[in-house]
Amino acid sequence: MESIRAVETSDPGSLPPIADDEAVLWQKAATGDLDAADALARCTYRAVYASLCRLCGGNEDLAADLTQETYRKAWRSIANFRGGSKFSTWLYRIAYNTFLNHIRGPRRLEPLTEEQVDQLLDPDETPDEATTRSAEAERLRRAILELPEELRFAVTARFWAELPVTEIARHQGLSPVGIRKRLKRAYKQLATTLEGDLQ
Amino acid sequence: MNNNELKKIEERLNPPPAPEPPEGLLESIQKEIPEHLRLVEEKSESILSPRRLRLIAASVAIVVLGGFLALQVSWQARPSLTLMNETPAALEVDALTGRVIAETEPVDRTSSVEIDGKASTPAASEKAKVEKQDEVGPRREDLSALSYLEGPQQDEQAAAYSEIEQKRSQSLSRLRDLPAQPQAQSGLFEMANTPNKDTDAKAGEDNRRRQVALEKQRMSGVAQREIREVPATEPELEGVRVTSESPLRVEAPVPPAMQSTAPPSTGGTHEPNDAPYGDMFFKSYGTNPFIDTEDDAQSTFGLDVDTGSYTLARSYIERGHLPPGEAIRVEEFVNYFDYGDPAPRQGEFTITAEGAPSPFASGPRYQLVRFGIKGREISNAERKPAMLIFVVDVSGSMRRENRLGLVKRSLELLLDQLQPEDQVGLVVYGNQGRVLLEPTSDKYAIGRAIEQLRSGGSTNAEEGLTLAYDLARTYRRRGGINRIILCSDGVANVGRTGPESILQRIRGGVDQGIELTTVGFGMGNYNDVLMEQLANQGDGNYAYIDTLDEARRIFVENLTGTLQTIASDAKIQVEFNPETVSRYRLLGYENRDIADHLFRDDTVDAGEIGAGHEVTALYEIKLHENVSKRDLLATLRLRYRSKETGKVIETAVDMTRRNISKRWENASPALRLSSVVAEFAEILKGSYWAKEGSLDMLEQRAAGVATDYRGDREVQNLVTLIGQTRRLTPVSMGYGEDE
Repeated sequence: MESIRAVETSDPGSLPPIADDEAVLWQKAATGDLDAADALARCTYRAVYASLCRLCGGNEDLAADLTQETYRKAWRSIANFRGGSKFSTWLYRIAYNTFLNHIRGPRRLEPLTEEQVDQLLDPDETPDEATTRSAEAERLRRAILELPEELRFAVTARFWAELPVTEIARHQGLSPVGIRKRLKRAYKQLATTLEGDLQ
Repeated sequence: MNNNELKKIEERLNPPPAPEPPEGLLESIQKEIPEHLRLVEEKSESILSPRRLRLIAASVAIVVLGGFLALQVSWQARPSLTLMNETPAALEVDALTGRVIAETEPVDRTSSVEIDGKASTPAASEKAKVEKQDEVGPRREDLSALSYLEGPQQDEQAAAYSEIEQKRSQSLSRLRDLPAQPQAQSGLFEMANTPNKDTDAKAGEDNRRRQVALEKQRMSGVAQREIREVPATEPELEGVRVTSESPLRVEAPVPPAMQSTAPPSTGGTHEPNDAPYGDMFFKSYGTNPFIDTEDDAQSTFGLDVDTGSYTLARSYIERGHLPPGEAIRVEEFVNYFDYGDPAPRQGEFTITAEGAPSPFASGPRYQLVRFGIKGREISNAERKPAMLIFVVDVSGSMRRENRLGLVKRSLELLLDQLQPEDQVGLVVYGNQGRVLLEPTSDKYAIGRAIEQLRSGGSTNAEEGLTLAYDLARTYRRRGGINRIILCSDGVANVGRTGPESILQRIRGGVDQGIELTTVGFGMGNYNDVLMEQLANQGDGNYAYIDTLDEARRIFVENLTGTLQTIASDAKIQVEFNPETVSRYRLLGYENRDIADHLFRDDTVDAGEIGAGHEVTALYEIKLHENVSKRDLLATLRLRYRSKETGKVIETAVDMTRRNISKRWENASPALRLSSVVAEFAEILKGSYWAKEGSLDMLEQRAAGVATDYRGDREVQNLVTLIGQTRRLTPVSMGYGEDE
């Protein structure tokens, strides 16, 4: 995992060139090297699974299914990937879309409704487990999923996928400062929502 | 809200550690890696395609001997190695704002902007231009390629290739036993947003007269502009012209089925399961995805005036079957119809640009944009004298369903339209090719020869076409139309060397100004791929004739368009403004894709446009918020070689927010008709974007549009056809394509 993470730069204006193991692998994979594709899956799937687990609120079976789905889509479009961001960032975007697709079908760019968020709860979870899981964490997750699209993507990419701000910026074609601003806006909105919930 | 509170929220966002992935997850993922990972191999040949592998293998051997051939191979393989260095969004703002290229700047000057992916400031790109002009040498890309040839790197590369090759063959053998993944259509690029959803019930009620709507169209500021001829410089840098062997050259793709040398027989791909007709050959070219303008703001493709896909699909439906999805090419559906765009009074083309909120998408900022390109009309009397060679397939398969009868009557229709100075020759092929009639203007003799056609025997299309091209060369008419008209069901089963050698023969003819029209007949045993590709390679057009009415349309009503080309190698580049447009999707033209940087390479084979032809390109685009009326959305550039003057002409037209109607109801009839046709095609194709499309709604919308086109038989028939399709699909069509 560590080897595929970019180091965040202190200089917000410049983005370092992408040069890592992943880049070498995807380029090989995109020209049909199946071993490279194997390796690419090996070094990225944990992160994809982890981010999907968090998106799904701990529903691990669903997360595993969606992980597989994510890769199916990724192989299909790997030739279209131009290296505009790191491969893992691109992969997270696919995972994110796959997740939203799963819960809501095609209208994925609008904030989720509460029922849709409810659907995600693991049906097998016993009441005990549910209580154990912090109600607070669940509220936070819902609040995040109900954010407007641009903020939601930034927040989930930053925290649930643990992508560096530089990478999110590269993917969104914005400056890192722009992403930080988005994150800040998201914090504000989240603070308001959560406060409202408590009352 | 103070910073402390925000800090707290930020801390709370740090996620709990995620659980370990379940056992076997990685294995299941790896198992699903498709064997052919590289999906766009039609666009540019992969390093590892079998053909290139052979080349590489050969060169590796020679490199060891210090040979010379390896240099070329390294050269060829270069683009994929330097891929990572290219900045995909090499969008130049100065290129965007300093538009009207056609009128102000010589074309080859600006081209360097695209070639130089790194120039990020206007000054830098200006510098790049100057350098480029001064050196009159290879492009930067080519220069970088040269550096690969220095020193020991060359050997390293060769070694790397052989290593990759070895690995791949190992992986292939390992994976061969696994169940094959259904080959995805490359259209499912992930940034995809909401696919079309037919929410437009109102359009069906829109019964306004066409006149009124046209008036509105004018008022809403549809951009219509006549094109004046602006000479462009001839293709520069003779020495660096990308040869056909280079992967840089993106020709119209030849399907793998045609590239293989063996077996020669049918040239098809595979037989669809449960196909109502045996041995129908189609090829799927995928579906275009939504593309973020941040990733690639330019959309480049060759124009296509073929209509075969629509008539073929119609023929299926009228016989009570749904056409296979691979048989559908959206642009051929859209281009089948006449949208009534004005023909140019002077010059060669008019471009119409208009738009309205997309009837497909659910999002409020999605717009459907139509670019209509209408060629100069030439009446039958005004057209150039023609020397036509009919090549008629009289093999046994043409006896089925009286195909040959339809061919004969179609050609007789054409014969009636000929001018006294036109000449016609006739070649037939069954077991062997035979010249039945040397070109002559004696209509009586031509008629008698057509009448005497009899079918029987096997099919030797290669020999038939060889004879035809020989005949056409001998009788070539300077300054006139030289065209071969191939009437066949597309089966080329006895040719000694397969379709590839036919294609080569055709390319030879193209250089001498001989064009090719392929006309498909028949259902069952029909080879759509071969017929389309033949026309594509032969600088020609492809039509499918299912009825005598269709023959009349092609050979009588649109005869000059079928015979006389006004522009060749016509390409379009639409450059979206990333500040106003966030993403776009081109409907159709999947197998006409041209790399953005080859737009100004006039050696690239693109589309041929006949007199009076109308070509329509539809895009679905998403706008950013708060786009004002005067904001530029896109610039369309059209580049072609004028048949008359031989000059390359480039012209541009801008589209602003003003060209887009606020409401779908105010959209012009042309836009509404094209949206109906495109959606119909996408539903039949099983396109991801049409998965929520409903034929019920579509039929209503079509009926609404048809009131604006009362005099147009084809539009009236379209409504009937959609109805027939709906009845063929009692339940909503289930799509093979998943999400």
